[in-house]
Amino acid sequence: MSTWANLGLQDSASPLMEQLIFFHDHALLILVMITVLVGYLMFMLFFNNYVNRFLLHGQLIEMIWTILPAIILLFIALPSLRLLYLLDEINEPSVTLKSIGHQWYWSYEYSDFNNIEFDSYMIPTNELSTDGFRLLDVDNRIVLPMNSQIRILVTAADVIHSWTVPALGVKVDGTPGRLNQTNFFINRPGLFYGQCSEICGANHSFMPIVIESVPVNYFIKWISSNNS
Amino acid sequence: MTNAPATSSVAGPVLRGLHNATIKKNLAISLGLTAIITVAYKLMINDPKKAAYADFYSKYDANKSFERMKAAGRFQSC
Repeated sequence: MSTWANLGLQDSASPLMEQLIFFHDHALLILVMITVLVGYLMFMLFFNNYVNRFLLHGQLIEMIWTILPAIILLFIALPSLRLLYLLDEINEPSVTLKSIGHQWYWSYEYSDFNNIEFDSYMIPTNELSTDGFRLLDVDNRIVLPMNSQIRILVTAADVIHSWTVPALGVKVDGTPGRLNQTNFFINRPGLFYGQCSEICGANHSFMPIVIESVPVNYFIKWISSNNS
Repeated sequence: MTNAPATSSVAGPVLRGLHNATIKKNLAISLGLTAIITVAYKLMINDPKKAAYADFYSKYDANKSFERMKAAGRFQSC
């Protein structure tokens, strides 16, 4: 989860998020390279006293500063496209979760199993326990099995919301009248937090998401104990 | 006899091709600096992060981690 003074991406809990982190590092490497190059050239301008008053054109340099950026962009585009297609790979989800955004809470449905449904409200700060996370903890968490492919269908009941968990690299808009689908995979147990990511009114910042990732057998026990 | 003032030879001004010469010098420095910083960034940030993830998951026991969290009462469901 996010801690204070967090500058970078959250530690991943999903193989796809790991790949996103590595790609981000790769793109940042290229950006640092360009910044140092251009920064040095700009810095040296402070120490220049001369003007070449006979300068008319420079075909060679124009060619270089056209072709070189194109090559640099290839180094960004190819890994980006690889990851883009990796994110869209077809897989067989074992669990389907439905997430409906409301003003201002999320409701979840597990229709694979006995139609389990519940609402998930943020715990207000004045009711928070001393070890709780302000503006992040919820009353009813989503429980999901780890090391299983999970399908999520996101929609909304009123205005556009967005369901996101940064540690899993998931962000899906919930639009009224539309079902958006994505898949993810959690490779370690624990609690993973997210916050609504599409402005939806007064309490947009106060409708967080919490996933509890547990081993499959505990997930099945939880499902059985929640028969509606 | 007056003493002749001490003279030292001073390099004359570059009369032709100063722009090209300056560009070549600055290009060499900028490319060198860029290469050093890029390689340093890769070796100090990119590669250690990949290695850290590989190392973490090579030794990771998910069930043990789960039991530890469960014992600490972190989960609502169990």
